[in-house]
Amino acid sequence: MQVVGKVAENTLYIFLSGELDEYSAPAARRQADEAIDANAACERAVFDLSGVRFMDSTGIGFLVGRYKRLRRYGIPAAIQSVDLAADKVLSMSGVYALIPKL
Amino acid sequence: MNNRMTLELPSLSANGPFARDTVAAFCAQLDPSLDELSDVKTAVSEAVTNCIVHAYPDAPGMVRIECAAERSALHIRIIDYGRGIADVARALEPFYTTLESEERSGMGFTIMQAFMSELSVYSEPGKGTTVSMRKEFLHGGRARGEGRAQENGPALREEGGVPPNSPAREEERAADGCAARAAARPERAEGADAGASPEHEKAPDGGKMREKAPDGEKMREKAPDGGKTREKAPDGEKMREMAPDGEKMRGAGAKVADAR
Repeated sequence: MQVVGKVAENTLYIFLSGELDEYSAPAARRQADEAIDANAACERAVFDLSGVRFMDSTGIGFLVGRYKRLRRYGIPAAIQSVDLAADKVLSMSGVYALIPKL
Repeated sequence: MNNRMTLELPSLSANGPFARDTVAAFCAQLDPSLDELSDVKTAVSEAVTNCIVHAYPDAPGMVRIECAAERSALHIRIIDYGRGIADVARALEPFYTTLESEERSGMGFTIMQAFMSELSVYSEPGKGTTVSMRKEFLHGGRARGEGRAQENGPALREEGGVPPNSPAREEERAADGCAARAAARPERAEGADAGASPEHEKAPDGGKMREKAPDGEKMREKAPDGGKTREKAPDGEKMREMAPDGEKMRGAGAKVADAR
């Protein structure tokens, strides 16, 4: 799992690519949190999941955990480019009520 | 065509991708759609993650994954010999987790239940857990020659009647492609199977615990512990509206479950 943070027009984009599971989650959390902390002045954050090839319920915990961190900075979050398989997992959990899909 | 595969590996998170990809590779003979294959991989990943996180929280233990392809269905059993689950019914509830501080969503069993055609869970504290799942493939099960395993009855049936060193067992080992693993099958499981009669057992709440093979023949359950606390997952039950952090989240789980 690769996590890359990029800022454009005051928006922090967090690009996730690879497989998000129990094995990859600790490093992904650390990298995403570093990107959030380094860009705490952004107006909003967007998780881009276009590169995610696999995601289980670990992804729910990952996104909700980052959502909580962003909320501490007062930054609203959104999700974009979710493939069908990941969308199925995220829809089930109702995570879009917290982090809307663009 | 009937076929089977057994995989044993320690509960290391690094083995999660290997486990789900191996099951997916085994699935290929059933001609699954990409969506179906993704469902199976996700369900296996959830079950294996449970073994890593919950069954063996302190040190890795062994996880056994048994797969059988039978006609248009894949049968999977994921067995651990770890801590076990005291309240299986509660563990099956959406968003229930004992490890909220670790960003666990508590959705593992709910996802297994929604993504697979059937799910059942046997567990007893201190003795381990067996998760049994079945996935029916819409266009699966195309016949490709004669499978030797066909003579041995339904998928995942224990070979209790076949002597350990009989030619039939040897053939089966050869079919599995791994004689060593076949020889290492835990005796406790066979012993437990001999004593278990799932069709007569009842859940603690009085509900009957039955599981059938696609051809209508009852699948013999192999619970390491006799399956005293086995629960049937609540099918299509509406997901509770609750967020891991206490906020309201609208759950669309029932919709997904119904759509399978």
